[in-house]
Amino acid sequence: MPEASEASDQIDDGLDVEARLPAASSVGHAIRLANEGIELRDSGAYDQAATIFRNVIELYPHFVYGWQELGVLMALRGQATEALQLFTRAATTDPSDFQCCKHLVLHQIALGQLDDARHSLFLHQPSTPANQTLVEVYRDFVDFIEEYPKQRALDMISRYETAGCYLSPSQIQRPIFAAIESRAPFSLIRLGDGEGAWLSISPEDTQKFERIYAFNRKKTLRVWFGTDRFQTLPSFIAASRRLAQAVQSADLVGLPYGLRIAREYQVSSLNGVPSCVNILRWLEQRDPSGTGRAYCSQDVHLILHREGFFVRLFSLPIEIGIISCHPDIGYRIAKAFGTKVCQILIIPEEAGFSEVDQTLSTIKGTSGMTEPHFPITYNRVLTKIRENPFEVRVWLVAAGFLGKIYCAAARDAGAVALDIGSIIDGWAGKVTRPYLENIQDFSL
Amino acid sequence: MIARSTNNGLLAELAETGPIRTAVAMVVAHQDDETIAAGGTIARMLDLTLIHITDGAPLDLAISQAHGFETRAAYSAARALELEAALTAACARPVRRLCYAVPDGEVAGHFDEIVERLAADLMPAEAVITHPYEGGHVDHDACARAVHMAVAILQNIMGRSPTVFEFASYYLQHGIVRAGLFWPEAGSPEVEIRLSSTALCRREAAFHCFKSQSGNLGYFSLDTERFRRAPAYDFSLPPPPRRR
Repeated sequence: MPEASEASDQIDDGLDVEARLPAASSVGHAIRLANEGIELRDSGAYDQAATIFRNVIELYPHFVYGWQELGVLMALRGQATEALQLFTRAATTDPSDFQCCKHLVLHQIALGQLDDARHSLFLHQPSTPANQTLVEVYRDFVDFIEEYPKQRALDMISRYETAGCYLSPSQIQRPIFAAIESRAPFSLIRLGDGEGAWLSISPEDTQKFERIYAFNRKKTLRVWFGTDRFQTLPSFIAASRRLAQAVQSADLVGLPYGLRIAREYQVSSLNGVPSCVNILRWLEQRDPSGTGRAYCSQDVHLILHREGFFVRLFSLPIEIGIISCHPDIGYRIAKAFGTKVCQILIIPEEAGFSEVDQTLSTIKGTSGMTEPHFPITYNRVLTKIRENPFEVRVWLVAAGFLGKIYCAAARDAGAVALDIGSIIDGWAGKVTRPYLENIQDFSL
Repeated sequence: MIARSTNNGLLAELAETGPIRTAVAMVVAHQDDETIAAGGTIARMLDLTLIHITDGAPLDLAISQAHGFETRAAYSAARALELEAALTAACARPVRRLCYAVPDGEVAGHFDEIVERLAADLMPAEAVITHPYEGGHVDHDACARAVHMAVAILQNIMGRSPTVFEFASYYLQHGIVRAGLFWPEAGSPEVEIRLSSTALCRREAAFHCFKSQSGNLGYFSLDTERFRRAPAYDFSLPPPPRRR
């Protein structure tokens, strides 16, 4: 069933709390109490949180978030029926509040009550055009889930995992080192939510789920570049097509694994479900038997780190190139391991992690890049990979969506390219993902 | 492809009039040194990393106040704004900007940390342009020394390093300020760039942006910029003329 934090992260449509309360004098107290309950709930003090939420409901029955937040708590506790009742109460108390509608719909989806979810969306009375759009996005999501239920998705990944070309953690290093040794081109590309949003299945499919696909693409663009204006930009559309070519030419492709997919369904992730499923659908069209190339988990970067792959790689007498937003990481690797890091190509941070001070007088610990990743830096990086003046043998690429295209370009130029993603953040001492919380485990 | 990034390849690009595609890092001490260095040429540098070592304001508050600012931070902020305007006027579009924010006059005091950071930041560069070691300003000399040390470290750990070039700044000779010229160094031929009318206009406009530094900048003629491959300095000796 949906969990509060992930579900509420999906849309930033704001809580217009004050507008939902009958008397202005009640607002402050209701919000204070609700926030206190949320804080307790987030810290795991469920009983105390429940007491507070019930208090809010009793004092302010028209305050929809009292019902909603208690519903979230019940869902967290696994009390799905109670949660459903509470979400329903919130949504019916204020049919124009999209937050309440969203919680109810996601919960119904998680329970497999797709017709009920559709009905909830039908009953919603959008207060703004933006909310109307969101209702349509959620309708698409319900349709998508109906066509691709969890078990179907799990069956799809299972076929790849059992087809004989799916590498276990202990098998992943071998083909990479073999390519390095034989000076053969090689690329490892990992596919995640963002990439899944940009892999097109067919024009018919794009039309069928147009609104949710557009919504997810915009979301990924905002995460990567801080703007969604590239969505219809012809040059970016062209770049996104190159993603498909990059995956086609890859020697090893990291896929979302069963547990991950199940988790996306469990939280009714608006982005995660269609993206994971579409990665698998896209692959099924091109490699239905799952034997066309090697596959592995999308967490391959983490696996390689834990298996000591990078320490072995760094001790080899070969030229390494790095593409990342961490300007000093190449120096640190070279200094720590004596590695021949012969080229560094710096890209801007993902928009969400940028810390650039506009005065530029106190920039510390940032890439210092002044231009956006796309298209200027992107074109420059591609040129440098193709020219390869320092004869880089292995490229370590941590560049998000565009990084997959860099991997393909490096492979085309005869090098080995490894899409190592956020593991490099850990090396740089930056906690950018939950798995990096124990950052000391990732220090070089 | 390698040729352009090694030896004197950058000098050849500078001497021509077209775009400069070499990945250049320009390392300067203060906000205005980049304009002195290459105010007319900087627009041609398509892959430029611009690194300022200081924030332009000395620790001595009296100096900020003498320039009309109540605090060191206000003086530094004003210099940063002047720099922004100057880069715009010069049509400079560095792809990467860094400021280490060391106080003006304190480069030598932060030397080790600067060298370490420079070593990392210069890794992507094919060529570095910095100050000559010539006794003009303590920060300039320390900056030159830091760049040469960082490059030596890179050579040691990577087996390759960016080639170091320098721009004509200023020095004192017999008590006279010699601006826009190099201290003569055998074996380091110069490239003298006579700026086109467009480049001259840009440089002039950029110079005018540094209102707080107008006194110093008055020493420089505007129509010429000079560069050369950096000599192999012996930094254990003081800068000229005392090392001679």
